[in-house]
Amino acid sequence: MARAAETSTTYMPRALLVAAIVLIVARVAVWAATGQPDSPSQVSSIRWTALEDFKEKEAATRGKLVLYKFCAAWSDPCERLESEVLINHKVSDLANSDFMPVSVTDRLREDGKNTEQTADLQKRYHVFAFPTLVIADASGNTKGMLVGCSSSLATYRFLARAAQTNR
Amino acid sequence: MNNGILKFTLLSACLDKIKLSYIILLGFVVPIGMKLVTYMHGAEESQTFEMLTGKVGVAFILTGLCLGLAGGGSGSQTGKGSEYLPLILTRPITRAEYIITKWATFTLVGGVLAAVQNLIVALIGVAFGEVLSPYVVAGLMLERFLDAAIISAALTLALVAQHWLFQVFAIGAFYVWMMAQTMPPVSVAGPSGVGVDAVALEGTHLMLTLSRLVGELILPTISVYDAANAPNFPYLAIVSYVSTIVIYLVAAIAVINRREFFYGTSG
Amino acid sequence: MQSQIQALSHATAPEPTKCIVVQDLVKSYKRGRVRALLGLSLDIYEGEIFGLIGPNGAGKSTLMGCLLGLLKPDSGSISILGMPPGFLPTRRITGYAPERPDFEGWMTARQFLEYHHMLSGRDRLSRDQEIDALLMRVALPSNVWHRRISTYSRGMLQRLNIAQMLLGQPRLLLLDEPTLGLDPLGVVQVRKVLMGLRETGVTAIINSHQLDEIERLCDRVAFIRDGKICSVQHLNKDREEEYTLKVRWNRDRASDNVADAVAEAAGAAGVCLKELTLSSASFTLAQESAHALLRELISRGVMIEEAVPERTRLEQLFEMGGQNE
Repeated sequence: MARAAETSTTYMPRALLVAAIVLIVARVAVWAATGQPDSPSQVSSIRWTALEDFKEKEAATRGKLVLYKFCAAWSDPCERLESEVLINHKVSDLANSDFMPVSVTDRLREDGKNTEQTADLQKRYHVFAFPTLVIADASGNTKGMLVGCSSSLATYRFLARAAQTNR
Repeated sequence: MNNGILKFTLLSACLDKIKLSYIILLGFVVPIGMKLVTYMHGAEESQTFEMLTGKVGVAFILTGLCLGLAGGGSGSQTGKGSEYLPLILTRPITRAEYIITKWATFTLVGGVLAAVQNLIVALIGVAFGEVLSPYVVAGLMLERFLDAAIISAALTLALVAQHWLFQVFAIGAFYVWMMAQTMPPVSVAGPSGVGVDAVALEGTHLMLTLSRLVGELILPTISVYDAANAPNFPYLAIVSYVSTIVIYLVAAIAVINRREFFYGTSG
Repeated sequence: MQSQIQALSHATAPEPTKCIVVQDLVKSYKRGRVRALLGLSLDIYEGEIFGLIGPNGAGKSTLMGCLLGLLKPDSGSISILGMPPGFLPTRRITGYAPERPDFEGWMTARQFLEYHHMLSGRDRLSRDQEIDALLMRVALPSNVWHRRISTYSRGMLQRLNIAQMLLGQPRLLLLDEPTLGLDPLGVVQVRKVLMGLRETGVTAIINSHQLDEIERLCDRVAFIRDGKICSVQHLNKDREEEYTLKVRWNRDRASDNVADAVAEAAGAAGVCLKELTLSSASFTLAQESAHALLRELISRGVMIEEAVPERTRLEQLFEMGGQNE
């Protein structure tokens, strides 16, 4: 019977069918096992400076570009950025070596308003979504903007291009 | 795998003038032109460029190849009005063999074209001083093949499953996936609370989240660089990817096995 | 003694082998709303050329589809040389020429046949030879073998269609309107191909509305209507076939005793005069008698303007709805 079925033009390859079933089960199992991480398993090694502690003159002195990270605590893409992209050592090494990383946290939802400094920066760089990475020179001119949680490679290339033009 | 289907699907991609023009234009001229202009004028790479050299670009190339999927090459006739696929299926080949060979050929053609495009674009970047390691470029090229494999599987299923409901779903799902590709995961800034603005914001947020979820469900692609550099082995990404391809292929074979071809006078 | 010999020869004469056995085939569409075949049964023997005729929507194409494994019957059975239609070995011995084949315009004839040759799993080494032989057999001019199919005429496409059907030396051929769109030369070519195949024991089923071709080519013909076989006719070529010939002459130039002349001519030629008017007459005659009749009429001063067969036998069958005469 099996041999007869195999000579039929409408034969369904058994191996493929079994693979499909096994993989569906595996997919569900792996999804259930991994779930959503409560916190990143590793912490990014980027040395972020809080906005209130940041001095633009310092960036000018060091000849570095400023890397602003606009985020919000309630934003899942921001969490993904931290846990999947910024922990990439190439990204973090480049961010630390060629930029002054500054973290800008939006508090509009939690506190009803942001600090004046935060609001000004968001307005200056037309930030409409989180996460947004903005590269600016010491004078505050925009050198690059990356909206959303892109891949590690896209983020690295974004930083590398800006760093290269600054050298 | 059937060598005849493989050979003539490849030939169709090379010898059909319309397909060739479409692939050259959208697959090479536009993205390479954009890359050159970007570097020559010091502009930033646009989102359109990112799409055309990424997964969306692969999808465009494959859609052009697959549409009119018959023959040695491209069309899949319904069996009504003209009889190409029925003629093929009266040959001593299993329908599974037909589907798998078509899928493999589309993957090969789409993957090679997109990988070559990525290579050219990378070389242009390097020529203009961009620092890209061979490891990164190889990863990009491999990623294009992986994209081609899953998109080909989805397109193959969409082309043989002729029921209008499924076609509507497939087209809708494709556009949702493309929407998810146009923008990476993002949260819209703004206050929460009541009011039209808040509703609009939440609606946008929901739309973006849904499009990403649907995209990950129907076309879970793999970012090779991210996967290779992830701190934990990306089990879920890989299992999702492989399982989706296999499910699409099994579904396509099941659909075409059940499909009947009538070409006489109806009613 | 003679009767004993005859009895012996009948006893030892091999029974013709059944190529196709169809039993109680039922097929419907649209969840039973359209009933195409209603318990159709049919036996087709090896080496015979079998015709399928019937009005549109009778179920001929559905039957062909079931024989090709393209349609799945609701019930009943089909056996092709002991195998189901949907089996790979069955597909290997079957050739099919669809009514409306679709060709990839960018292919050449050679490429198209090469493609189907590869699909058939044929030996690569003999490919070129087989393809050349097939193209010559269907009389496709050699100067077009390397031209794109998109430039072909309807007749060339049909020749190519026949050629792909013959790939792999099939034992069973299914042809759907094989002479449609062909010029007279092409029709003769197809006829030659099929008659040649008959001698090698190939079985062919022809679905066609060209009743004169069916009558010429087929050994038997089934009339299908409303999903059932109404009758199966033997088209015995050995027996002289009778048909009706209508002869018309110029009434103004005819003599006064033209009626007598026509009747005399019929008698002299050994044909039956069916109908006589002032300007025409209908005769029932065998194929070979037409020449004699016309000669007799002309010799008696009848100025013939036209002589055409009125209807073929199958046309009569068609008009009677497939009922036996």
